[in-house]
Amino acid sequence: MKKLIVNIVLLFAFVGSLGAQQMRKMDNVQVFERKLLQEAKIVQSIESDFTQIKYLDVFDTKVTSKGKFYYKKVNMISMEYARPMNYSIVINAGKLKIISDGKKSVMNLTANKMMKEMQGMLTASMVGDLSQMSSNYRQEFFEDANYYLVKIKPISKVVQAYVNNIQIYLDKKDMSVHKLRLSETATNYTEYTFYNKKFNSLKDETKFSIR
Amino acid sequence: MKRSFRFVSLVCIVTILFSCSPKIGQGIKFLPPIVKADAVVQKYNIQMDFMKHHLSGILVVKNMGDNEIRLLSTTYFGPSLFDVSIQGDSLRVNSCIEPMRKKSLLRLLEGDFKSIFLSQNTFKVKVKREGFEKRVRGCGFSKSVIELSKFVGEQPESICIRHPWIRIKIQLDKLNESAETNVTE
Repeated sequence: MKKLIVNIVLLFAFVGSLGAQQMRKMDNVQVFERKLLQEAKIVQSIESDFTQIKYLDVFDTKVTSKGKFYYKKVNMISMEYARPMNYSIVINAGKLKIISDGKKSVMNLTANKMMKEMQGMLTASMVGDLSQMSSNYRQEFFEDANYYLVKIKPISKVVQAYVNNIQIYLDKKDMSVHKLRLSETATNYTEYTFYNKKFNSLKDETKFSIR
Repeated sequence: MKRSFRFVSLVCIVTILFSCSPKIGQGIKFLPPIVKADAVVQKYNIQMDFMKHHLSGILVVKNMGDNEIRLLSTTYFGPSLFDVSIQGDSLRVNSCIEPMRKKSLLRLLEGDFKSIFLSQNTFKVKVKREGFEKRVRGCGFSKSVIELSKFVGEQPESICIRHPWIRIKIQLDKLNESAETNVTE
């Protein structure tokens, strides 16, 4: 009996310590926003590797892709997938270019209000520039010892049909995006993890060419 | 008189019966499913070309049991394109992005997916040689051509469906086992 009580106490202590590592509500959102704004001013470009995990709940399966991520001010993004397929996506000047199997397709995002909204939201999320988020999103702020977490929920039902919620994990060391989770539904999500980051090293803009 | 009436009746019955039945000489037979969906998830690179438009992503297929084959397609970038189930002979749309939510397009996809994952008696094998097979159905606007290649055993790893008159092409290429390191269940 004594042993059982000790085990229960130990179990509660272990669960308690796990809770301590979990995200808690952010103490000072103003400080966080100030830091984020400050870093956003300094960062002109980002180069990094990324791993993308798409979770399909109906099959309980994860599809993992890997590639290179590039960002350059203002709002130019390029993602070059190397696995499982060669594929690239470029967002620049309100246009979206996709190259898949050597075939190129360009879409004008500004012509469609919904696409424009999605582009703004994605760009802001990937580079952690939350000042770009319009008032159409509800934001909640959390933190732990290493990361800030911003949970974003679109208010519009039309946007919610595509993205139910977004979770952005920002590294406290440099305020860069460490992890981004886009949830289409409560159980289906795509998660991007960024690593081997280099800041302000990208000189030319050829990677972002839409032609 | 009675005898000739019997003869005429017999001729009529035989004519009616054989005019509605398949030509016995050619022996219409059911072709087995091109891809046998099983309980293990199968993944394909899917490319859809419609006139000048090109759409691509990953198609995930699984036999869910209870006679249901589930097909889910996502873009490489992440967001889902469609999620459909073939159950028996009918297709159920579980979810689908707005631009694809068109009856004619979904009907076309239904026909194409059924011709890949179910037994067929409407296609004819036109060409068959080692590592390649060509099947054709219909003519004019309803013509469909399926080309199968890169066979591993009985199953092709490359499937191309063309609707030449309406300029639609769907290409499926199996994501091989070396890419499996990227896919965890």
